[in-house]
Amino acid sequence: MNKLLDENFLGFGLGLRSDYYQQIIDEKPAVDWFEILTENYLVDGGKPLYFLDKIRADYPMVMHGVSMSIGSTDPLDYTYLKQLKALAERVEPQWISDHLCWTGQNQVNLHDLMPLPYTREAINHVAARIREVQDFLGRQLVIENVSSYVTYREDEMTEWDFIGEVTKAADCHLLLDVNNVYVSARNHGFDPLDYISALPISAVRQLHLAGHTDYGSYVVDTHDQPVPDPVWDLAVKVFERFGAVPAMIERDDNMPAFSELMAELAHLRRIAKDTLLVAA
Amino acid sequence: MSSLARIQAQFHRQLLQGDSNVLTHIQSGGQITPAQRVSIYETGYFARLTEVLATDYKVLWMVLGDEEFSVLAKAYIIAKPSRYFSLRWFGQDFAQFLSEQEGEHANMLAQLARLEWAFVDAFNSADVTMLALEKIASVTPENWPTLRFKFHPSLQVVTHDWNVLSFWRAGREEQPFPELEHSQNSQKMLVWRKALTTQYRTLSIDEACALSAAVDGLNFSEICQVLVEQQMPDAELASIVIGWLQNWLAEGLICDIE
Repeated sequence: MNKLLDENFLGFGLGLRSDYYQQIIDEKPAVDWFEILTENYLVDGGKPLYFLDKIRADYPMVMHGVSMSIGSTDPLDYTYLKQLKALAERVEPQWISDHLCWTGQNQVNLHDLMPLPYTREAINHVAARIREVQDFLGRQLVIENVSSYVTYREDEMTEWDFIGEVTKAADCHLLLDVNNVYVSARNHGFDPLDYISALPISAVRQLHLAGHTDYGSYVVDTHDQPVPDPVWDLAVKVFERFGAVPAMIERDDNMPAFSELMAELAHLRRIAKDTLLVAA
Repeated sequence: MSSLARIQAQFHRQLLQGDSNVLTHIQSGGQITPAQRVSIYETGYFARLTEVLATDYKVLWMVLGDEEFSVLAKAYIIAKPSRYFSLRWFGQDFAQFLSEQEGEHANMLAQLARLEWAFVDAFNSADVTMLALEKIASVTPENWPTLRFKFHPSLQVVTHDWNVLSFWRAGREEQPFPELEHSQNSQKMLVWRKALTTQYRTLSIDEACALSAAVDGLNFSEICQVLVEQQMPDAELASIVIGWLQNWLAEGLICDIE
């Protein structure tokens, strides 16, 4: 609980989406910070950058990207990284995150978060690239676990061991998406508590909470629904293990009234507070 | 090739070409088969990129309806895989792609797409500091002939000979679409952004000619000369061009002079 009162604790945030730009400026809602989708602001000018600057003047921000393709066997895209670095100089984010995945090969972008095989080879490959990006950006990177629908026959370990090994070898942080853990657990038949109880505590820098679409025999990470009860339940276990970690509601589609997101944010604060009070 | 590179290459081919070699790498088990697991990625790939096109080409999507739009979108996704780190650019070749399709309306659809893409481009183009009116007021008469103009980066001229502007307006206002009409004379339209708002208006052939010359960097007297060569009567020519320039300034099209 002490850390929740710590003035350095970033608190609880929301993903910044264009649907709410004007409302945020007009109403200055009680959101501790916003996470921006990096690629939405890698444009030359116009409304996105105008609203970004206006909202940044009132709120701390973190940057979250989808295009680094840190696990791809293509060379790192320095055109992208230079633009990312320039945007970071403009935004001055608390940290920069992207996904532990690959998004394409041979310069073709699939615009999807493709899962990596959990192999020693992949750990070495990804960790070296994360280090290269960290050297270029001059800061530690935060990488997010993705949800997945396949695992590979080549796998040599579990996803949680793979993530732990990558964060250790790359000396980077982890953005733990609680929904993604739930989705992958359902799709691959593992216990999500095994996953979170194996992750290194000191690596976790941020949490995402989101919704999904349940098709019965599998679950798709759509991020277009309210956070469902099983994900809230898992979030309690996450706060119990990792303590006061900055957390946010991530909604990417089927955008609701802003008040609905604020209600989910209030629920998130309550869960974190109750859990951490008990744990203290 | 490393194991990692091989898996990525085969998964890539699966999504782009429907080649199923990646299945040899996928674990079996659980409630769905490896093929079903891979198909979640395939479905997502086409759905995501189709949605991007439907957002950028909203009126075109309304004109064609879900089914026909999806067929064309899928063909484009297969023909033009994204080479961009941002989805903002993915649809930029769609108008060209449509113009290369068979069918009596291919040209009209391409022109509508070109118009919609001009708005996407204008929306995201660079911000510039606008020209202070004192600067142009201070130009002395003897300097006018050699004056050159710098234009807002969002400026685009779109040409069409189908009534795509009427379609675009109807789509934006969610009104019924008009009858399709073809004109013998092509129409020119200006699309740009003033501050944060995209703007558009039609252009006469003469004004389009002058604007094109000015954008190409010709000075005031050279612009007038181009118009004379276009058979424009020269009696009132300088005052007509000055009138256009005043409009361009007021509309935020000119951002600097030199």
